Amino acid sequence: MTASSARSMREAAAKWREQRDQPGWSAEQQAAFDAWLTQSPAHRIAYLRVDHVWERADRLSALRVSKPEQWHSPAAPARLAVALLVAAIMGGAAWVSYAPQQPRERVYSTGIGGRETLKLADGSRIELNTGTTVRVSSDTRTRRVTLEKGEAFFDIVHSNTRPFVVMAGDHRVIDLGTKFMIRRDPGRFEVALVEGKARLEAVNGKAAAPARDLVPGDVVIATANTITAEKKAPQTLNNDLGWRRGVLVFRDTALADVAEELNRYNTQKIIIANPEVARLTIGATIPTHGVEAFTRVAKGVFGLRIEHRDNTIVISK
Amino acid sequence: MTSDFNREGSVPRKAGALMTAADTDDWFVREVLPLEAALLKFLRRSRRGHADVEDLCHDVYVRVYEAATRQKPDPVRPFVFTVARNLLLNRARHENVVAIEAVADLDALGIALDEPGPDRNVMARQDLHRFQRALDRLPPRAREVVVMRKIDGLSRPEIAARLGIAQSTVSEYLATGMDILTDIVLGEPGDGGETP
Repeated sequence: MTASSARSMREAAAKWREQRDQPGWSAEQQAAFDAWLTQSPAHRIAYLRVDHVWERADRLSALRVSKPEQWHSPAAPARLAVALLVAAIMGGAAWVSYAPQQPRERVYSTGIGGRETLKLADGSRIELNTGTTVRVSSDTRTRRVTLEKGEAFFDIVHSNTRPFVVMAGDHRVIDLGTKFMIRRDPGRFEVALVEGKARLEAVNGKAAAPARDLVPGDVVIATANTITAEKKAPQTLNNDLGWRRGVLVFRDTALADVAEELNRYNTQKIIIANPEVARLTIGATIPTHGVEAFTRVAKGVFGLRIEHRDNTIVISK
Repeated sequence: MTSDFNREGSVPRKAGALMTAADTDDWFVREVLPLEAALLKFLRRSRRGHADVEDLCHDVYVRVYEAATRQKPDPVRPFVFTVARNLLLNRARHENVVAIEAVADLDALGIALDEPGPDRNVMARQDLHRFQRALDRLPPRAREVVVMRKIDGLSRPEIAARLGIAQSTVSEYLATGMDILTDIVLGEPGDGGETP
């Protein structure tokens, strides 16, 4: 390694990190970035380094005081920040006067086909899948997320003193140091534990299910009247969470199920006209927005008929 | 290059499961990056008068990372310093330097390896404080832009409008700012890493 190379790699990493953040990051840019990353582990490490620090720098947002529009002087924010930091370090009383009295609650939503990552001040991350709404609130004692609808992946930094609780309908998941997924559809709740530990509780005694501790691979699905638990291999779970990478992974999946899944992500809905077509199975990895890719396969591989009507695509024999 | 570790043989390790690339990344960020300040100190002492400490540090990272893709070293800290020492020894041999005084310090350094971390709330505050101090050491323009982005939460177009500069210039300042911030934050002693 030459004398300047660590430096130049680190500078390049910072440029990538900044570019990735910008709206309109394209598939070509992603490909170039992937190529750069895989060129050398030294590149990857340079990137991990800057990415890690830059994400942690989000903690600085705790210093935000009021509407930024009020700051006309460019120098003001830094000064205010110092003052606030002192307040924060002095502790409770001074801090409270800057913070709203009640625990703050914020609502985050994604539309059809949307995907967002929320980074919480404590380092926890919540990835929202398509058509998802969560309410997030936290105070000094608890961190609480309510999954109103949709699906989210949680990567939670555990705290013994500030439990992280996810509410989803009649169920409550309490993090015990965890990565997990929760999906809520009308009348249906699903949780899958990827890593760590979590406790699942039924809030409403109807299902009469005792609290259960989940371990990695556990998948629990509850409807109004039933509750089923199964164990999934890490690879299967990883496939189920393909949306985090922007893809849907199907293995021996009936076309009806593929269509239903794609419909979650796209406003252009697929309708399968015949039951025998619906029962055909495929194995494929399809981009979450890959309606067109799917119809091409249906047409090319299965010789099915594709018909566009308004905002729907009808697939038939 | 995992031979650093095997040659040493004295560092205990437990069998670890095979890790995916993402796991290795997470592991690296969580376990290794927090050691940067101590590692730089060690390398600086050993390479007095040499300007290549940053490269050495990066070399150590590469070796540690590659070793971890095969097996996660546990405990991490002695492993990292063993890699660093071996790298220094190799370099010394290569350069025909006879003695490296600080290399012998490794054991002394090891004493403080397992000190308990501060509690999480304290760490969160310290972390904030650390970033605040780091911000103050950025070049003025880079600092201004980072403050607007990270504290005020402004978008690039908003920052560009406010400062009367091009968006691409905002991006350049942000990249410079995050690069320097990374060196400062990781290079400062006592960085506990990502604060839980």
